[in-house]
Amino acid sequence: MKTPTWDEFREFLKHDNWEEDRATGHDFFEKTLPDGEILRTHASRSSSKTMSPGRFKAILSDQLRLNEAEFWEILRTKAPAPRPSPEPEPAPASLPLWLAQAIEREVGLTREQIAEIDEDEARRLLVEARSTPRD
Amino acid sequence: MLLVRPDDLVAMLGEHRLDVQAVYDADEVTLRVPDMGVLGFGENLDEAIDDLLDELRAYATRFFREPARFMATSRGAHAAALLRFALADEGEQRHMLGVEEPESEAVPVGAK
Repeated sequence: MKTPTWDEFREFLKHDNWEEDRATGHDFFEKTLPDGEILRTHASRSSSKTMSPGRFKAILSDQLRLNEAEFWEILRTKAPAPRPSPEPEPAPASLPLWLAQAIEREVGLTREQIAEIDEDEARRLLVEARSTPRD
Repeated sequence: MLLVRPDDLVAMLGEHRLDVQAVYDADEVTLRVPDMGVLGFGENLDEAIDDLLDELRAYATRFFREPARFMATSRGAHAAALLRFALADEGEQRHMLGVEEPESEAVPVGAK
């Protein structure tokens, strides 16, 4: 999955007509849709850093309500996206926060390993770790 | 106009636990509150939790600056949880994120 830099993300916000919410703090942006719904997002200042795939998917599905292709199309055409999107980005694979923390601390998986497992597998690994006698 | 003491308001609002989901990549962790469209970023889980707390505080500030505007949208459903969050101290705010394992989900030690 091709992911944008934060500079590209800011460029997207400009072309999709998002407005900076200066009262909340720097780098918060809002967009009001024709039906009155309010979208909010927050742009990092790490300008040249490319965001990871999971993070990009979360931003698309939870905040921009667009899919990946629509995001890049806005950067290409420099014109706002029609909304609602006919096919918004599905939410990325995720684990409940408590389970993620337990898997890190009790099972000892790395971030890369946790990224590869689903919730059922995470629960199985946690049960297994808690069933193993400690020395 | 009705005046309510903050501690009475906290009692009236009751317990709120947000649904927080963790998205892992090789070098980053992203926390989502899907219902609210709020995200927290970090290079590890602890950083992402701290960032999510900041993002929720910013959202609560924004929401209650123009409550009528937000209440008129689907975001109106966030009001009670955001108010409870805004009235909480930092420890309670962390508790609301659901960092601790819920009793209903408890995976018992030694159970196989």
